[in-house]
Amino acid sequence: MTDIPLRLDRVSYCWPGAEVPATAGVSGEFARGEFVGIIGPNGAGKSTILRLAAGLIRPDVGTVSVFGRDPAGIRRREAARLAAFLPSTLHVGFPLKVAELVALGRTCHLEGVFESARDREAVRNAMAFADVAQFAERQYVELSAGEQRRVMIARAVAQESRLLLLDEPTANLDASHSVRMLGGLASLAAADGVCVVAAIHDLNVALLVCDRLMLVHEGRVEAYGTPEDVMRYPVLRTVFGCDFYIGQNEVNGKLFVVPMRESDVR
Amino acid sequence: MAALALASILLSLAFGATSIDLWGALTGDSVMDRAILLRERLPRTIIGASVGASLAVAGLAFQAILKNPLADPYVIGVAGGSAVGGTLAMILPVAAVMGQAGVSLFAFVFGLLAIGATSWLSRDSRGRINVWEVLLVGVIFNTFASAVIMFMKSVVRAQKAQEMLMWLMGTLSSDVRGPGAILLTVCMTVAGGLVLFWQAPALNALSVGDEDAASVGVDTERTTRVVLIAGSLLVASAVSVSGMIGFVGLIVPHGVRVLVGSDHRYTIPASILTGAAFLVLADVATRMLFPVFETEAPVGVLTALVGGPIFVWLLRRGNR
Repeated sequence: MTDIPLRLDRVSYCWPGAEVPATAGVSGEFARGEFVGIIGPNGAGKSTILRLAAGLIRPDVGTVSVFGRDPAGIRRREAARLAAFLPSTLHVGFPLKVAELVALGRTCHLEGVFESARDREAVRNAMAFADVAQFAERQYVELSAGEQRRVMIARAVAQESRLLLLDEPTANLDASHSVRMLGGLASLAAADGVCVVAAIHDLNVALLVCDRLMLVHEGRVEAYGTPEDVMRYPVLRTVFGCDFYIGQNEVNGKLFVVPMRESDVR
Repeated sequence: MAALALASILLSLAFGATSIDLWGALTGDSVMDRAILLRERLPRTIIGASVGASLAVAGLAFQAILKNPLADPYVIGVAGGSAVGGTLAMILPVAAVMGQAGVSLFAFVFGLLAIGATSWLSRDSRGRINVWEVLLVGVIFNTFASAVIMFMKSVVRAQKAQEMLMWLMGTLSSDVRGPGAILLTVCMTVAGGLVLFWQAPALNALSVGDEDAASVGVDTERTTRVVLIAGSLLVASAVSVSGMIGFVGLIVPHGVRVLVGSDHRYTIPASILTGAAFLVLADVATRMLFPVFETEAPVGVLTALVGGPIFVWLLRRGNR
């Protein structure tokens, strides 16, 4: 088992029935303790990359390696222990309580049918992490979209994997929870050496916490590096099809971008 | 719930079309009553409890893998197959030669053939079972099977057709009473129930969604297959001894969810107990009504008559 949480080597995948591949020749390495944001326009292939990394789909070409293992080739239980995946949306048909939903994250750790004390502790910690402990006995479907999002993040954290694959972790979160949640995830990375890979469509949210950014467009990696390397006018214009103002926040030193209409450019 | 199941079983032993002296029967003072108790009521109660438990737990598990709280144990084609098998055995010389056991055997084998065919037809291009198609193919298969049964009913003599009708509606009064048949049914229920209980954590995850279950470490394909096979065995064995008893497999899981929530580690044992109690009580009621109508109504009719309104009430309550 190597120490590299995630390595993609010229990975291509085409969804059944689709005409163009969702990812085409994607390569990249993701290190321990690193928070990497996958950015790009809608349909660029962000979610597909995360699903490939989670082993939920098998690449047509190329190899995916999670801690040296092929996540689609090993047992699901093992793959889920190595990498936790947060889907972008979740429709729950049955009336599940928040605590029950978070506990599902322990499925890959269960010895037998019931949770151990260790499992219950992990669930409690994860609910505290995502600030959802107060909803524990409420029904998941009764919560607001943002609260549901936090519950799902708690579930991914409860899985206690060394690689977190998050599809839009901050969608529907208010500014305060968004910042706190990302800060919490960043400290998981910095303090515990967890590798966090998150698909984020809001560029400024990504710039706030990510150590590195992977910019994808039409299934290909356009740029991969530090925010300063990736946030450049020509590539952003090609990928997003509009101009951006790129500035630096003088309070925290982070870059920020503002999209502009062509007619407004003076 | 265990108490409820036990009480219903005692009730079922104590009451019937003929009133008996339970204490006399147990102590052996009354030979006639003892015979009724041991040869009639005890086997009938055991089979009733076993069938009720099987249908309820199979319904619960199918609802989880199909992510549809309205699925019932008959939805995926096993029942259609079993029904065709049973009725076929009645019109062929099978029943004449082997008696009711032949009907049971045919129903069981045809039920398994049906689920085999359904799963085979529901594979996607990569050979995996697609649960939505299982549902679709199952429903179509059941419609097809009922057409076949209608046809068979229309070509046989009226008395035979009546016999078929009674069996199809579900009854515990058929003469499958041999210790072998009872043992087999009970073993099937116990084994199927244990297998499903072992899958409870996976069922919890699967009831949310297939991909989601996979992402928390469930081998969705394997679990789906195990549950389909275990559930089909339960349904086929239930149908083969008692015909098509409706509503138990739909209403009991619902009632249980209202009472104990959605965690399969609790709903599976609860469904087994409640399903057994529900069917045994329904059967007691049919026997008690015997003197009124001078004939025994099929218990399947009673479960549907009672179950329908309860189900609507549960749904209305859930909507509030």
